[in-house]
Amino acid sequence: MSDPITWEEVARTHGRRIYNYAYRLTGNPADAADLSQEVLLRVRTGLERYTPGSFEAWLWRITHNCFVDGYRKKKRRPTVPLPDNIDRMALLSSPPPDVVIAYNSLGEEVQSALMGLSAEFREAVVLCDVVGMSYDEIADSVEIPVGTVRSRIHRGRKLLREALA
Amino acid sequence: MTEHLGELLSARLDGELTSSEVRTVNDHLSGCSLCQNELTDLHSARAALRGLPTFEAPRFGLPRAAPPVIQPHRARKAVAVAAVAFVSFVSLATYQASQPTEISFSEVTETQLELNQEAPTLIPQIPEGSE
Repeated sequence: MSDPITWEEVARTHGRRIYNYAYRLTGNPADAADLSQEVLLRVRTGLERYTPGSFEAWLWRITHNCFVDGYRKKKRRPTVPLPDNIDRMALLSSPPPDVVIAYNSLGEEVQSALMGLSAEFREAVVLCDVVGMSYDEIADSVEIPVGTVRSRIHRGRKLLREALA
Repeated sequence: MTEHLGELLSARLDGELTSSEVRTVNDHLSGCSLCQNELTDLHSARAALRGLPTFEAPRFGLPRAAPPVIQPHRARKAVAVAAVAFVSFVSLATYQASQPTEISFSEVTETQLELNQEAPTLIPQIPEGSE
């Protein structure tokens, strides 16, 4: 029987992919760091109940749920951060300088076009083209049929192309 | 051939079609400039996304441990202990207030010891014969 997975291993192995997913969905380093930290907090709690299976699918379901919850929360209160976010943010180092620079320059146009998509389309194209998941993996993570994944990716790319034209 | 390929084009780019679907798509593409153009557009959008820079994640801190959950019976016990401690404190404070103000630490210790030793035990007065 293999050793149980630890929170630190998850952060080390998957932290970068989760952060880049969060960055492209939220559109800024601070929110991306907050979302990533929320994912890892839930992973830490959830690991106690995790039963061996598809770890990737389990992890990305948590990640997707964090994004959806955060998105809903933000829609309700668009500008005022939650007080408990302050403590969580204190646990994080500042976003690396290269992230801050890139936020202001590289890929700004594409990022801006991404932010113009609905959350569903944005997440589908980010999972496919930034995280590098297959349609089946996306369907497992977002808990939607593969046909819906295909449709969202297609619509998302079309809208992105129009925005960039 | 009136129906265009639509989302099959994205699936083709991603290698998500079965071999028979690939044949169908390729057959259609060879004679449809509209779908060819759409494929080019989709390819550009996909390339723009895939060309985005990726970043190192910040260092994540260890999440705080959740505060311990106090069970109801433990909470009652905690209240009882706190009540006893409070009564002891008030008794001691009252006793000390009645003593001379200049008193050494050693004297306090001895006095406290005496107080503890001589503290009367409260025994409930139960009338004889009662049950």
